[in-house]
Amino acid sequence: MRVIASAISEIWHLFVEDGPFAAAIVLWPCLIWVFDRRAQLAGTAGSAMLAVGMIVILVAGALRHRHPRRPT
Amino acid sequence: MIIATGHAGAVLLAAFLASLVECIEALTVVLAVGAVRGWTGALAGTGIGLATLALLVLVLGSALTAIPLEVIQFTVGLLLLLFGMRWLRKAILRAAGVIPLHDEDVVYARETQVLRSGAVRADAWDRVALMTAFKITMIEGIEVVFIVIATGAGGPRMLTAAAVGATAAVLVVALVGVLLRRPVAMIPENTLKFAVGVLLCAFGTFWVGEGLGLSWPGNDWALAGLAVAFLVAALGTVPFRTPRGVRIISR
Repeated sequence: MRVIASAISEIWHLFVEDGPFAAAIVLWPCLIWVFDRRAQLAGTAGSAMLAVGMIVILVAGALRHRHPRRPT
Repeated sequence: MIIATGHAGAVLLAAFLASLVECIEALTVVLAVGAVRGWTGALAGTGIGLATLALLVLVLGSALTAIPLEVIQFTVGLLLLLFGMRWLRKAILRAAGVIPLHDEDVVYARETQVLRSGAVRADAWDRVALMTAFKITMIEGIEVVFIVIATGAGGPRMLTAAAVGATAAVLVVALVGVLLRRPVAMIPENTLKFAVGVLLCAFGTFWVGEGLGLSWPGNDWALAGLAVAFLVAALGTVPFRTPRGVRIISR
């Protein structure tokens, strides 16, 4: 039970720390899933889109991240 | 009799080799997590993962194959991605000098909280290390269970041979892990954090794709390509975040 509680707390912390970044990570695969079902992507197009999207989210997240300063 | 023994030998070898690949994938992540976040959490996560798997196999047996693997792959992959992306982003920012190599703010806040609570627990486990090791052990372990069930489908004798092959693979990989523990610990801290982030992102993206039913070029080899892509992207981002006049710290 303690492990499950820790897991939930840790995941919750991810969203509290940077909501848009965490939300983008969860939403992008969901969008790919919807798009893949509707457009019937050929071959490895879906996996390529997934990987490229994740890299873009990472780079954008690193570029826009502002580190909070400790109050003096 | 000779043919049956030969068949069992082939099943044992197939299960051994296939399980070896899965175990090495898990070992890579567990080793890196242990070196960065501490061995207590990493080993505890691996142990809990193995115990959970053993319990699942004992309770469900071959009914395990009825569980949709895609759901497990997608969920675990997404969790690995959530942790991995955050980890890698922090490693980029540390390498760029935006946040300190040892994040003093986090350490300060954590230590303050512990001191305020009045209870310093010496046995406190690193939750991130525990969970990451647990997840990777579970997903790769379930793959090993499926391999055993699939290769041992020819009857009880074949199932035994497959189980022996898979167990041998686990033992070999555990031995390799023990031997590699010290060399891995000598790698600079932020380099390891970079490596763990890259690995988690690569595995997470791969499993999410598998869970969604997407096809990867080169199947499992796509993992290496994903790792290289994440590494290049992360390293390429560092100069853009480096404040002017600050040298990139490579420690």
